[in-house]
Amino acid sequence: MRADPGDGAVEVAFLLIGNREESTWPLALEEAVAPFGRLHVVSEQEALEEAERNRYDVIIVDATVVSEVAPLVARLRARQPEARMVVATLSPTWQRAREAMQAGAFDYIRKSFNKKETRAAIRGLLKRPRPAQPLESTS
Amino acid sequence: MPKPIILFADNDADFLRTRAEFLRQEGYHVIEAANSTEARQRLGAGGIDLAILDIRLENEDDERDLSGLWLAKEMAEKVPTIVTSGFMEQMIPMIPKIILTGFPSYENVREALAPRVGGLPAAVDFVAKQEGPEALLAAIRRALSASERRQAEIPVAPAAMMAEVPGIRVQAQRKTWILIGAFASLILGTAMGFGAVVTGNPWLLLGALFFIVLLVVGLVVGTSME
Repeated sequence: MRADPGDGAVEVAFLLIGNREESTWPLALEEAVAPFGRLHVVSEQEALEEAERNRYDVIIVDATVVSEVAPLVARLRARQPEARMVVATLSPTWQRAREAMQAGAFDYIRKSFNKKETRAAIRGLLKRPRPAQPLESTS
Repeated sequence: MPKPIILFADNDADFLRTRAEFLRQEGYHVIEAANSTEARQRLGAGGIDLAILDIRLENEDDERDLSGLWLAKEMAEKVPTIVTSGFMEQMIPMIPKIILTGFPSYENVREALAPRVGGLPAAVDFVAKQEGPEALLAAIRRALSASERRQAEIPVAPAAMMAEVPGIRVQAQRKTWILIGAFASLILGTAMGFGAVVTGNPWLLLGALFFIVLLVVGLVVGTSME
């Protein structure tokens, strides 16, 4: 049984599914999560393989670079049911939020480049209870 | 098959009446509630299979009114409980809730669908009024069918397994208490029987017979339980 992340006693494993070539967002996120643990960045194509290979406490899906968010979230959730999965986007909409959360996302947030804001969001995320089981998709 | 009972809470009287009528025509028994107090009372009375809660239950024009969402969260905090009373066991189930709103926002979707206490969300679905009655109907069908599957799984699970089902607490280990009662009946019945033989008191004999009957019932029920 793994220790619960967020209490400061264990290093949290973060996985970002995004664009490795892009420098700003992954870098800002890396700085924001630094006090909690380490961030590993993979592309959409590598995501499922990586989720099979290693366990992560938090999986962040960058909706702006992923072609179809909900199916990817559902597949990741099936592989890592205990991970807190978050979808981050520049332009949040309630329809996409519903789709992502019903596919199994733990949260749906607006992408922020502000370190303090992102850090607060991560802290809040780690304090919340883990998901119980995958929700059924509405689509 | 009995009609599923739906609690429909909305402070817009016209909308509530129209949608409730639509759902009745679709074969549901609909109970209407005009505000959060009424909705809370109806839910407290029990017998509801599903609740549809408008977000703004108090004031449609107040964007800070999240009373329907708060009610859903409040209900989500109350974990389903297995209540043991004598030989009867009753499951108080978690009522699936659908959040309905004329003012959808991604923040409200997060509040409604994010996992809460026990890892379960406050609501199972989020529907905008603009999506029309068919979208609401589809959400109801999905929610009731998922709830039926969940209910079907829970009663057959042994207590030890039930304790591991998220959000479920087993209040009492029924079998243990029944067997303890049977053992106590054995001791009291034997003592009274012995007293009846020594003193010839018919009341002690009656008492002994009563405890022997309790002992037999306790053993039969206790040993037949999973």
